[in-house]
Amino acid sequence: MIKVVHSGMYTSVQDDGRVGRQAVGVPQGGYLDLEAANLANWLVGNEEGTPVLEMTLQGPVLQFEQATSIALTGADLSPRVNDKVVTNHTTLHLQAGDKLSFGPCKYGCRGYLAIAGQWTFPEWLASQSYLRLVGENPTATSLLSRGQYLAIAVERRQEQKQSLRELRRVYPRQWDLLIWPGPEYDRFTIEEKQFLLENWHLISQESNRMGCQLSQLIPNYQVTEPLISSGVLPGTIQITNAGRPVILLADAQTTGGYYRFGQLTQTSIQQMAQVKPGDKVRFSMVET
Amino acid sequence: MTIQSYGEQGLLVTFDTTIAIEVNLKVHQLHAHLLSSAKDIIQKLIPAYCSLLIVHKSGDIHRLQLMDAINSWQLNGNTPAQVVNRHWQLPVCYDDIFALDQQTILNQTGIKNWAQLVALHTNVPYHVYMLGFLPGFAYLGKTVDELNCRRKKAVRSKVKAGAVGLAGRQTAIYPCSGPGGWQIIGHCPIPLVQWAAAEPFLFQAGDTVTFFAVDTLALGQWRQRVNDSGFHYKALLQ
Repeated sequence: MIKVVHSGMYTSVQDDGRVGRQAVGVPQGGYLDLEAANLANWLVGNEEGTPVLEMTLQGPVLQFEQATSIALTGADLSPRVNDKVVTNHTTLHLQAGDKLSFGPCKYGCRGYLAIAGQWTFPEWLASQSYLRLVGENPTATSLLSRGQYLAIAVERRQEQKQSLRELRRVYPRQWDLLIWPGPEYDRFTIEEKQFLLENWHLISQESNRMGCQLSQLIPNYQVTEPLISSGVLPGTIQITNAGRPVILLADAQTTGGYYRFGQLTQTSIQQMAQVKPGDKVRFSMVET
Repeated sequence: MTIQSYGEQGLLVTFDTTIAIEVNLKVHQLHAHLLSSAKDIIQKLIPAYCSLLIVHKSGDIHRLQLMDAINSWQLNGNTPAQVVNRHWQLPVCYDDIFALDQQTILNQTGIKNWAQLVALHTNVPYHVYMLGFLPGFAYLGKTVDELNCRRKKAVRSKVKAGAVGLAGRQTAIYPCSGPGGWQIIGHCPIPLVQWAAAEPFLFQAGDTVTFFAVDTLALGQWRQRVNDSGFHYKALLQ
Protein backbone atom coordinates (compact mmCIF):
# COMPACT_ATOMS: atom_id res chain seq x y z
CA MET A 1 0.00 0.00 0.00
CA ILE A 2 1.00 3.61 -0.58
CA LYS A 3 -0.59 6.33 1.52
CA VAL A 4 -1.37 9.67 -0.10
CA VAL A 5 -0.28 12.12 2.59
CA HIS A 6 -0.73 15.05 0.24
CA SER A 7 -2.26 14.84 -3.24
CA GLY A 8 -0.13 17.49 -4.96
CA MET A 9 -1.68 20.00 -7.34
CA TYR A 10 -3.25 17.55 -9.79
CA THR A 11 -2.02 13.98 -9.63
CA SER A 12 -3.93 11.43 -11.70
CA VAL A 13 -3.54 7.89 -12.94
CA GLN A 14 -2.97 7.78 -16.69
CA ASP A 15 -2.35 4.95 -19.12
CA ASP A 16 -2.75 4.77 -22.89
CA GLY A 17 -6.29 6.04 -22.65
CA ARG A 18 -9.52 5.17 -24.44
CA VAL A 19 -8.67 5.42 -28.13
CA GLY A 20 -11.57 4.32 -30.30
CA ARG A 21 -14.37 5.55 -28.03
CA GLN A 22 -14.59 9.05 -29.41
CA ALA A 23 -17.66 8.22 -31.54
CA VAL A 24 -19.70 8.10 -28.31
CA GLY A 25 -18.30 11.33 -26.88
CA VAL A 26 -15.58 9.84 -24.66
CA PRO A 27 -12.29 11.79 -24.82
CA GLN A 28 -9.12 9.84 -25.61
CA GLY A 29 -7.40 10.84 -22.37
CA GLY A 30 -4.27 9.03 -21.24
CA TYR A 31 -0.79 10.34 -20.45
CA LEU A 32 0.04 13.60 -22.16
CA ASP A 33 3.77 12.84 -22.33
CA LEU A 34 4.01 9.47 -24.03
CA GLU A 35 7.82 9.53 -24.09
CA ALA A 36 8.17 10.28 -20.38
CA ALA A 37 5.54 7.68 -19.43
CA ASN A 38 7.16 5.00 -21.59
CA LEU A 39 10.57 5.80 -20.12
CA ALA A 40 9.24 5.59 -16.56
CA ASN A 41 7.71 2.19 -17.27
CA TRP A 42 10.92 0.99 -18.95
CA LEU A 43 13.01 2.01 -15.94
CA VAL A 44 10.92 -0.24 -13.70
CA GLY A 45 10.59 -3.12 -16.15
CA ASN A 46 6.89 -2.60 -16.87
CA GLU A 47 5.17 -3.15 -20.21
CA GLU A 48 4.32 -0.08 -22.27
CA GLY A 49 0.86 1.20 -21.46
CA THR A 50 1.05 0.32 -17.76
CA PRO A 51 -0.67 3.05 -15.73
CA VAL A 52 1.56 5.68 -14.15
CA LEU A 53 0.92 8.69 -11.94
CA GLU A 54 0.95 11.97 -13.85
CA MET A 55 1.91 14.79 -11.47
CA THR A 56 1.26 18.42 -12.40
CA LEU A 57 3.60 21.23 -11.27
CA GLN A 58 3.49 20.30 -7.58
CA GLY A 59 3.99 16.63 -6.78
CA PRO A 60 2.28 14.58 -4.04
CA VAL A 61 3.64 13.29 -0.73
CA LEU A 62 3.49 9.49 -0.72
CA GLN A 63 4.27 7.14 2.17
CA PHE A 64 5.36 3.69 1.00
CA GLU A 65 4.27 0.93 3.36
CA GLN A 66 6.24 -1.74 1.53
CA ALA A 67 9.53 -1.89 -0.39
CA THR A 68 8.93 -0.72 -3.97
CA SER A 69 11.09 0.04 -7.00
CA ILE A 70 10.03 3.27 -8.69
CA ALA A 71 11.15 5.70 -11.36
CA LEU A 72 10.49 9.37 -12.05
CA THR A 73 10.57 11.08 -15.46
CA GLY A 74 9.25 14.15 -17.23
CA ALA A 75 9.30 17.49 -15.40
CA ASP A 76 11.89 17.95 -12.65
CA LEU A 77 9.69 18.35 -9.58
CA SER A 78 12.65 18.28 -7.14
CA PRO A 79 12.00 14.78 -5.78
CA ARG A 80 13.19 13.68 -2.35
CA VAL A 81 13.07 10.38 -0.51
CA ASN A 82 12.95 10.93 3.27
CA ASP A 83 14.01 14.52 2.53
CA LYS A 84 17.16 13.42 0.70
CA VAL A 85 17.50 14.59 -2.89
CA VAL A 86 16.98 11.92 -5.58
CA THR A 87 16.87 12.25 -9.36
CA ASN A 88 14.71 11.51 -12.36
CA HIS A 89 15.67 8.98 -15.04
CA THR A 90 16.92 6.19 -12.79
CA THR A 91 15.39 3.26 -10.91
CA LEU A 92 14.97 4.08 -7.21
CA HIS A 93 14.51 1.48 -4.48
CA LEU A 94 12.25 2.56 -1.67
CA GLN A 95 12.05 0.70 1.64
CA ALA A 96 8.95 0.16 3.78
CA GLY A 97 8.29 3.44 5.60
CA ASP A 98 10.02 5.66 3.01
CA LYS A 99 8.42 8.98 2.13
CA LEU A 100 8.53 10.40 -1.38
CA SER A 101 7.98 14.14 -1.62
CA PHE A 102 8.56 16.95 -4.11
CA GLY A 103 9.63 20.57 -4.09
CA PRO A 104 9.69 23.38 -6.64
CA CYS A 105 9.14 22.60 -10.31
CA LYS A 106 12.54 23.28 -11.93
CA TYR A 107 11.43 22.75 -15.51
CA GLY A 108 8.52 21.24 -17.40
CA CYS A 109 4.93 20.83 -16.29
CA ARG A 110 4.16 17.16 -15.78
CA GLY A 111 6.21 14.51 -14.02
CA TYR A 112 5.59 10.77 -14.15
CA LEU A 113 5.91 8.12 -11.44
CA ALA A 114 5.97 4.43 -12.32
CA ILE A 115 6.20 1.53 -9.87
CA ALA A 116 7.62 -1.90 -10.63
CA GLY A 117 4.36 -3.82 -10.52
CA GLN A 118 0.68 -3.07 -10.99
CA TRP A 119 -1.69 -0.55 -9.53
CA THR A 120 -5.25 -1.68 -8.92
CA PHE A 121 -7.29 1.34 -9.88
CA PRO A 122 -10.75 0.64 -11.32
CA GLU A 123 -10.93 0.27 -15.07
CA TRP A 124 -13.52 2.03 -17.18
CA LEU A 125 -13.70 1.16 -20.87
CA ALA A 126 -10.45 -0.79 -20.54
CA SER A 127 -8.43 2.11 -19.09
CA GLN A 128 -7.48 3.29 -15.62
CA SER A 129 -7.03 6.88 -16.80
CA TYR A 130 -8.81 9.56 -14.80
CA LEU A 131 -11.50 11.40 -16.70
CA ARG A 132 -13.01 14.48 -15.13
CA LEU A 133 -16.81 14.20 -14.99
CA VAL A 134 -19.29 16.22 -12.94
CA GLY A 135 -21.40 13.91 -10.80
CA GLU A 136 -21.09 10.13 -10.96
CA ASN A 137 -17.63 9.08 -12.15
CA PRO A 138 -16.38 5.50 -12.48
CA THR A 139 -12.79 6.85 -12.61
CA ALA A 140 -13.12 9.03 -9.49
CA THR A 141 -10.40 7.29 -7.45
CA SER A 142 -7.91 7.75 -10.29
CA LEU A 143 -7.51 11.37 -9.17
CA LEU A 144 -5.43 11.25 -6.01
CA SER A 145 -6.82 12.77 -2.84
CA ARG A 146 -5.39 13.21 0.63
CA GLY A 147 -5.76 10.16 2.85
CA GLN A 148 -6.31 7.77 -0.05
CA TYR A 149 -4.52 4.41 0.00
CA LEU A 150 -3.13 3.11 -3.28
CA ALA A 151 -2.99 -0.67 -3.55
CA ILE A 152 -0.25 -2.46 -5.44
CA ALA A 153 -1.16 -5.90 -6.73
CA VAL A 154 2.17 -7.16 -7.98
CA GLU A 155 5.53 -5.82 -7.06
CA ARG A 156 9.00 -6.96 -7.76
CA ARG A 157 12.41 -5.53 -7.19
CA GLN A 158 13.69 -4.06 -10.39
CA GLU A 159 17.42 -4.08 -10.95
CA GLN A 160 18.99 -0.68 -11.42
CA LYS A 161 18.45 0.96 -14.80
CA GLN A 162 19.36 4.39 -16.11
CA SER A 163 18.16 6.32 -19.08
CA LEU A 164 20.56 7.48 -21.82
CA ARG A 165 21.93 11.00 -21.53
CA GLU A 166 20.41 12.15 -24.82
CA LEU A 167 16.95 11.06 -23.65
CA ARG A 168 17.03 13.20 -20.51
CA ARG A 169 15.15 16.23 -21.69
CA VAL A 170 15.23 19.65 -20.08
CA TYR A 171 12.18 21.66 -21.07
CA PRO A 172 12.23 25.31 -22.17
CA ARG A 173 9.80 28.15 -21.37
CA GLN A 174 9.35 29.13 -25.03
CA TRP A 175 8.18 26.68 -27.62
CA ASP A 176 8.18 26.57 -31.42
CA LEU A 177 5.21 24.49 -32.46
CA LEU A 178 4.80 23.17 -35.99
CA ILE A 179 1.26 23.02 -37.32
CA TRP A 180 -0.74 21.89 -40.34
CA PRO A 181 -3.65 24.04 -41.60
CA GLY A 182 -6.97 23.09 -40.00
CA PRO A 183 -10.19 22.44 -41.96
CA GLU A 184 -11.35 26.07 -41.56
CA TYR A 185 -7.91 27.65 -42.09
CA ASP A 186 -9.02 29.36 -45.30
CA ARG A 187 -11.91 31.12 -43.54
CA PHE A 188 -9.50 33.26 -41.52
CA THR A 189 -8.53 36.70 -42.81
CA ILE A 190 -4.93 37.60 -43.57
CA GLU A 191 -4.82 39.76 -40.43
CA GLU A 192 -6.12 36.90 -38.29
CA LYS A 193 -3.56 34.48 -39.77
CA GLN A 194 -0.79 37.02 -39.19
CA PHE A 195 -1.87 37.51 -35.61
CA LEU A 196 -1.72 33.78 -34.96
CA LEU A 197 1.41 32.95 -36.95
CA GLU A 198 3.64 35.97 -36.38
CA ASN A 199 3.43 36.36 -32.62
CA TRP A 200 4.60 34.69 -29.46
CA HIS A 201 1.53 33.74 -27.45
CA LEU A 202 1.32 33.52 -23.66
CA ILE A 203 -0.25 30.38 -22.17
CA SER A 204 -3.05 31.40 -19.81
CA GLN A 205 -3.65 30.14 -16.27
CA GLU A 206 -6.93 28.74 -17.60
CA SER A 207 -5.15 25.70 -18.94
CA ASN A 208 -5.53 22.04 -18.04
CA ARG A 209 -5.68 18.56 -19.60
CA MET A 210 -8.62 19.63 -21.78
CA GLY A 211 -6.64 22.40 -23.41
CA CYS A 212 -4.17 25.26 -23.17
CA GLN A 213 -5.83 28.62 -23.61
CA LEU A 214 -3.82 31.50 -25.02
CA SER A 215 -4.01 34.75 -23.06
CA GLN A 216 -4.73 37.05 -25.96
CA LEU A 217 -7.86 37.07 -28.08
CA ILE A 218 -7.70 37.60 -31.83
CA PRO A 219 -8.57 41.30 -32.24
CA ASN A 220 -11.95 42.05 -33.85
CA TYR A 221 -12.69 38.37 -34.43
CA GLN A 222 -16.10 37.63 -35.90
CA VAL A 223 -17.64 34.43 -37.14
CA THR A 224 -20.02 35.03 -40.01
CA GLU A 225 -21.03 31.42 -40.62
CA PRO A 226 -21.20 29.22 -37.52
CA LEU A 227 -19.68 25.78 -37.88
CA ILE A 228 -21.95 22.76 -37.63
CA SER A 229 -20.51 20.58 -34.85
CA SER A 230 -17.70 18.41 -36.16
CA GLY A 231 -14.96 16.20 -34.74
CA VAL A 232 -11.83 17.63 -33.10
CA LEU A 233 -8.56 16.03 -31.98
CA PRO A 234 -5.91 16.58 -29.33
CA GLY A 235 -3.56 19.11 -30.94
CA THR A 236 -6.30 21.06 -32.71
CA ILE A 237 -6.03 24.86 -32.41
CA GLN A 238 -9.64 25.88 -31.95
CA ILE A 239 -10.78 29.52 -32.00
CA THR A 240 -13.83 30.20 -29.81
CA ASN A 241 -16.45 32.64 -31.10
CA ALA A 242 -14.94 35.26 -28.79
CA GLY A 243 -11.61 34.88 -30.62
CA ARG A 244 -9.86 32.85 -27.92
CA PRO A 245 -7.34 30.35 -29.31
CA VAL A 246 -7.25 27.04 -27.44
CA ILE A 247 -4.82 24.18 -28.09
CA LEU A 248 -6.90 21.07 -27.38
CA LEU A 249 -5.35 18.25 -25.38
CA ALA A 250 -6.24 14.64 -24.58
CA ASP A 251 -9.22 15.32 -22.27
CA ALA A 252 -10.92 17.77 -24.66
CA GLN A 253 -14.45 17.21 -25.92
CA THR A 254 -14.61 15.07 -29.05
CA THR A 255 -16.69 17.47 -31.15
CA GLY A 256 -16.99 21.23 -31.37
CA GLY A 257 -18.66 24.07 -33.22
CA TYR A 258 -15.67 26.43 -33.35
CA TYR A 259 -13.37 26.97 -36.31
CA ARG A 260 -10.29 24.78 -36.43
CA PHE A 261 -7.35 27.01 -37.41
CA GLY A 262 -4.63 24.40 -37.30
CA GLN A 263 -3.52 20.97 -36.14
CA LEU A 264 -0.23 20.51 -34.26
CA THR A 265 2.21 17.90 -35.62
CA GLN A 266 2.55 14.74 -33.53
CA THR A 267 5.91 16.01 -32.25
CA SER A 268 4.37 19.30 -31.14
CA ILE A 269 1.44 17.52 -29.46
CA GLN A 270 4.00 15.52 -27.48
CA GLN A 271 5.72 18.77 -26.45
CA MET A 272 2.45 20.26 -25.17
CA ALA A 273 2.61 17.90 -22.18
CA GLN A 274 5.39 20.06 -20.71
CA VAL A 275 3.96 23.49 -21.59
CA LYS A 276 2.66 25.39 -18.57
CA PRO A 277 0.88 28.67 -17.83
CA GLY A 278 3.30 31.56 -18.31
CA ASP A 279 5.20 29.79 -21.12
CA LYS A 280 5.20 31.28 -24.60
CA VAL A 281 4.41 29.43 -27.82
CA ARG A 282 4.82 30.31 -31.47
CA PHE A 283 3.15 28.55 -34.39
CA SER A 284 4.84 27.81 -37.70
CA MET A 285 3.15 26.17 -40.66
CA VAL A 286 4.77 22.96 -41.87
CA GLU A 287 6.45 23.62 -45.22
CA THR A 288 4.93 21.45 -47.93
CA MET B 1 -18.40 15.02 -50.61
CA THR B 2 -15.08 16.68 -49.78
CA ILE B 3 -12.06 15.14 -48.12
CA GLN B 4 -9.57 17.34 -46.27
CA SER B 5 -6.32 16.47 -44.59
CA TYR B 6 -6.45 17.03 -40.81
CA GLY B 7 -2.92 16.70 -39.45
CA GLU B 8 -0.57 13.78 -40.19
CA GLN B 9 -3.11 11.08 -39.38
CA GLY B 10 -6.50 12.71 -39.93
CA LEU B 11 -8.93 12.87 -42.83
CA LEU B 12 -12.13 14.91 -42.58
CA VAL B 13 -14.90 13.80 -44.91
CA THR B 14 -17.66 16.41 -45.23
CA PHE B 15 -21.00 15.86 -46.90
CA ASP B 16 -23.55 18.64 -47.57
CA THR B 17 -23.03 21.31 -44.88
CA THR B 18 -26.53 21.14 -43.47
CA ILE B 19 -28.34 19.40 -40.64
CA ALA B 20 -30.58 16.90 -42.40
CA ILE B 21 -31.35 13.25 -41.80
CA GLU B 22 -30.44 12.08 -45.29
CA VAL B 23 -27.02 13.76 -45.03
CA ASN B 24 -26.46 12.36 -41.53
CA LEU B 25 -27.34 8.86 -42.70
CA LYS B 26 -24.47 9.04 -45.21
CA VAL B 27 -22.08 9.90 -42.38
CA HIS B 28 -23.14 6.84 -40.43
CA GLN B 29 -23.14 4.59 -43.45
CA LEU B 30 -19.55 5.53 -44.26
CA HIS B 31 -18.72 5.12 -40.56
CA ALA B 32 -20.14 1.60 -40.53
CA HIS B 33 -18.42 0.74 -43.82
CA LEU B 34 -15.00 1.85 -42.56
CA LEU B 35 -15.46 0.07 -39.23
CA SER B 36 -15.96 -3.20 -41.05
CA SER B 37 -13.59 -2.85 -44.02
CA ALA B 38 -10.69 -0.75 -42.71
CA LYS B 39 -10.53 -1.36 -38.97
CA ASP B 40 -6.90 -2.52 -39.09
CA ILE B 41 -5.67 0.88 -40.24
CA ILE B 42 -8.07 3.14 -38.29
CA GLN B 43 -7.47 4.42 -34.76
CA LYS B 44 -10.64 6.42 -34.27
CA LEU B 45 -13.70 7.76 -36.05
CA ILE B 46 -15.76 10.77 -35.01
CA PRO B 47 -19.12 10.97 -36.83
CA ALA B 48 -20.96 14.28 -36.57
CA TYR B 49 -23.95 15.95 -38.23
CA CYS B 50 -22.55 16.10 -41.74
CA SER B 51 -18.91 15.09 -41.40
CA LEU B 52 -16.79 12.11 -40.44
CA LEU B 53 -13.34 12.61 -38.94
CA ILE B 54 -11.08 9.60 -39.37
CA VAL B 55 -7.71 9.08 -37.69
CA HIS B 56 -5.60 6.42 -39.36
CA LYS B 57 -2.45 4.70 -38.18
CA SER B 58 0.75 6.64 -38.69
CA GLY B 59 2.32 6.25 -42.16
CA ASP B 60 1.48 7.49 -45.63
CA ILE B 61 0.53 4.01 -46.80
CA HIS B 62 -2.31 3.91 -44.28
CA ARG B 63 -3.69 7.19 -45.58
CA LEU B 64 -3.65 5.76 -49.10
CA GLN B 65 -5.38 2.57 -47.95
CA LEU B 66 -8.00 4.67 -46.17
CA MET B 67 -8.64 6.65 -49.37
CA ASP B 68 -9.12 3.33 -51.18
CA ALA B 69 -11.75 2.30 -48.63
CA ILE B 70 -13.60 5.62 -48.89
CA ASN B 71 -13.52 5.59 -52.68
CA SER B 72 -14.75 2.02 -52.88
CA TRP B 73 -17.71 2.98 -50.70
CA GLN B 74 -18.53 5.89 -53.02
CA LEU B 75 -18.13 3.83 -56.20
CA ASN B 76 -20.47 1.16 -54.90
CA GLY B 77 -23.25 3.77 -54.73
CA ASN B 78 -22.81 4.55 -51.03
CA THR B 79 -24.23 1.18 -50.12
CA PRO B 80 -25.64 1.32 -46.63
CA ALA B 81 -24.17 -1.23 -44.23
CA GLN B 82 -26.61 -3.15 -42.10
CA VAL B 83 -27.50 -0.54 -39.52
CA VAL B 84 -30.01 -1.46 -36.83
CA ASN B 85 -32.19 1.50 -35.97
CA ARG B 86 -34.01 1.44 -32.67
CA HIS B 87 -37.02 3.53 -31.74
CA TRP B 88 -37.19 4.68 -28.15
CA GLN B 89 -40.20 6.09 -26.27
CA LEU B 90 -39.18 7.91 -23.13
CA PRO B 91 -41.17 9.65 -20.36
CA VAL B 92 -40.42 13.28 -19.55
CA CYS B 93 -41.84 15.36 -16.71
CA TYR B 94 -42.29 18.98 -17.80
CA ASP B 95 -43.52 20.26 -14.43
CA ASP B 96 -42.37 23.67 -13.18
CA ILE B 97 -39.83 22.16 -10.81
CA PHE B 98 -37.88 20.74 -13.77
CA ALA B 99 -38.66 23.38 -16.40
CA LEU B 100 -35.87 25.68 -15.28
CA ASP B 101 -35.99 27.92 -18.35
CA GLN B 102 -39.75 27.97 -18.84
CA GLN B 103 -40.15 31.74 -18.93
CA THR B 104 -37.12 32.36 -21.13
CA ILE B 105 -38.35 29.92 -23.76
CA LEU B 106 -41.93 31.17 -23.77
CA ASN B 107 -40.59 34.71 -24.25
CA GLN B 108 -38.20 33.71 -27.04
CA THR B 109 -40.57 31.48 -28.97
CA GLY B 110 -43.81 33.39 -28.40
CA ILE B 111 -45.60 30.12 -27.55
CA LYS B 112 -48.75 30.98 -25.57
CA ASN B 113 -48.41 28.61 -22.62
CA TRP B 114 -46.36 25.69 -21.29
CA ALA B 115 -48.97 23.06 -22.17
CA GLN B 116 -48.66 24.07 -25.79
CA LEU B 117 -44.88 23.77 -25.69
CA VAL B 118 -45.16 20.30 -24.19
CA ALA B 119 -47.55 19.32 -26.97
CA LEU B 120 -45.02 20.52 -29.56
CA HIS B 121 -42.07 18.68 -27.95
CA THR B 122 -43.78 15.33 -27.34
CA ASN B 123 -44.89 12.65 -29.79
CA VAL B 124 -42.45 13.80 -32.48
CA PRO B 125 -39.81 11.24 -33.50
CA TYR B 126 -36.32 12.76 -33.14
CA HIS B 127 -33.33 11.39 -35.00
CA VAL B 128 -30.09 10.80 -33.04
CA TYR B 129 -27.61 12.70 -35.20
CA MET B 130 -24.43 12.17 -33.22
CA LEU B 131 -22.87 11.76 -29.78
CA GLY B 132 -20.40 14.33 -28.48
CA PHE B 133 -19.75 17.16 -25.98
CA LEU B 134 -20.07 14.80 -22.99
CA PRO B 135 -19.74 11.01 -22.87
CA GLY B 136 -23.02 9.62 -24.21
CA PHE B 137 -24.55 13.05 -24.97
CA ALA B 138 -26.87 12.50 -27.95
CA TYR B 139 -27.91 15.36 -30.22
CA LEU B 140 -31.58 14.84 -31.20
CA GLY B 141 -33.51 16.71 -33.83
CA LYS B 142 -35.09 18.40 -35.43
CA THR B 143 -37.72 19.97 -33.22
CA VAL B 144 -40.60 21.78 -34.91
CA ASP B 145 -39.81 25.29 -36.04
CA GLU B 146 -41.93 26.88 -33.31
CA LEU B 147 -39.53 25.53 -30.66
CA ASN B 148 -36.46 27.19 -32.15
CA CYS B 149 -34.61 29.01 -29.34
CA ARG B 150 -31.14 30.28 -28.51
CA ARG B 151 -28.64 28.81 -26.11
CA LYS B 152 -28.32 30.52 -22.72
CA LYS B 153 -25.86 33.40 -22.60
CA ALA B 154 -24.66 32.40 -19.14
CA VAL B 155 -23.79 28.70 -19.07
CA ARG B 156 -24.93 26.74 -16.00
CA SER B 157 -21.94 25.24 -14.24
CA LYS B 158 -23.91 22.12 -13.38
CA VAL B 159 -26.92 20.68 -15.15
CA LYS B 160 -28.25 17.50 -13.51
CA ALA B 161 -28.27 14.15 -15.25
CA GLY B 162 -31.69 13.60 -16.84
CA ALA B 163 -32.30 17.28 -17.65
CA VAL B 164 -34.05 17.71 -21.00
CA GLY B 165 -32.94 20.73 -23.02
CA LEU B 166 -33.47 22.73 -26.18
CA ALA B 167 -30.94 24.62 -28.33
CA GLY B 168 -31.71 25.83 -31.82
CA ARG B 169 -33.78 23.08 -33.39
CA GLN B 170 -32.06 20.39 -31.37
CA THR B 171 -33.12 18.68 -28.19
CA ALA B 172 -31.19 16.44 -25.81
CA ILE B 173 -31.16 14.71 -22.43
CA TYR B 174 -28.03 15.23 -20.35
CA PRO B 175 -26.67 11.70 -19.73
CA CYS B 176 -24.60 12.85 -16.77
CA SER B 177 -24.19 16.05 -14.82
CA GLY B 178 -22.10 18.67 -16.54
CA PRO B 179 -21.89 22.30 -17.57
CA GLY B 180 -24.69 23.27 -19.91
CA GLY B 181 -25.90 26.13 -22.05
CA TRP B 182 -29.10 24.53 -23.29
CA GLN B 183 -32.55 25.77 -22.19
CA ILE B 184 -33.91 23.22 -19.70
CA ILE B 185 -37.57 22.18 -20.09
CA GLY B 186 -37.99 18.95 -18.16
CA HIS B 187 -36.58 15.79 -16.62
CA CYS B 188 -36.33 12.23 -17.91
CA PRO B 189 -36.04 9.48 -15.25
CA ILE B 190 -34.47 6.88 -17.54
CA PRO B 191 -30.73 6.46 -16.88
CA LEU B 192 -28.91 6.88 -20.18
CA VAL B 193 -25.63 5.56 -18.83
CA GLN B 194 -24.75 2.21 -17.31
CA TRP B 195 -21.23 2.95 -16.17
CA ALA B 196 -20.31 -0.70 -15.59
CA ALA B 197 -21.46 -1.95 -19.00
CA ALA B 198 -19.08 -2.68 -21.87
CA GLU B 199 -21.23 -0.34 -23.98
CA PRO B 200 -22.34 2.19 -21.37
CA PHE B 201 -24.54 4.53 -23.41
CA LEU B 202 -28.14 3.89 -24.34
CA PHE B 203 -28.44 5.97 -27.50
CA GLN B 204 -26.68 5.26 -30.76
CA ALA B 205 -26.52 7.47 -33.81
CA GLY B 206 -29.37 6.50 -36.11
CA ASP B 207 -31.84 5.71 -33.30
CA THR B 208 -35.07 7.68 -33.06
CA VAL B 209 -36.47 9.00 -29.80
CA THR B 210 -40.03 10.12 -29.00
CA PHE B 211 -41.00 11.72 -25.71
CA PHE B 212 -44.29 11.44 -23.86
CA ALA B 213 -45.33 13.66 -20.95
CA VAL B 214 -45.77 12.32 -17.42
CA ASP B 215 -46.84 14.14 -14.26
CA THR B 216 -44.92 14.04 -10.99
CA LEU B 217 -46.87 11.01 -9.75
CA ALA B 218 -46.13 8.98 -12.85
CA LEU B 219 -42.52 10.20 -12.68
CA GLY B 220 -42.23 8.65 -9.23
CA GLN B 221 -43.59 5.38 -10.59
CA TRP B 222 -41.10 5.42 -13.45
CA ARG B 223 -38.26 6.01 -11.01
CA GLN B 224 -39.34 2.96 -9.02
CA ARG B 225 -39.72 0.87 -12.14
CA VAL B 226 -36.21 1.80 -13.29
CA ASN B 227 -34.72 0.81 -9.94
CA ASP B 228 -36.51 -2.53 -10.00
CA SER B 229 -34.08 -5.37 -10.71
CA GLY B 230 -36.43 -6.75 -13.36
CA PHE B 231 -36.39 -3.55 -15.41
CA HIS B 232 -35.11 -3.88 -18.94
CA TYR B 233 -34.49 -1.13 -21.45
CA LYS B 234 -36.38 -3.19 -24.06
CA ALA B 235 -39.56 -1.97 -22.34
CA LEU B 236 -38.85 1.45 -23.83
CA LEU B 237 -38.42 0.24 -27.40
CA GLN B 238 -41.23 0.65 -29.85
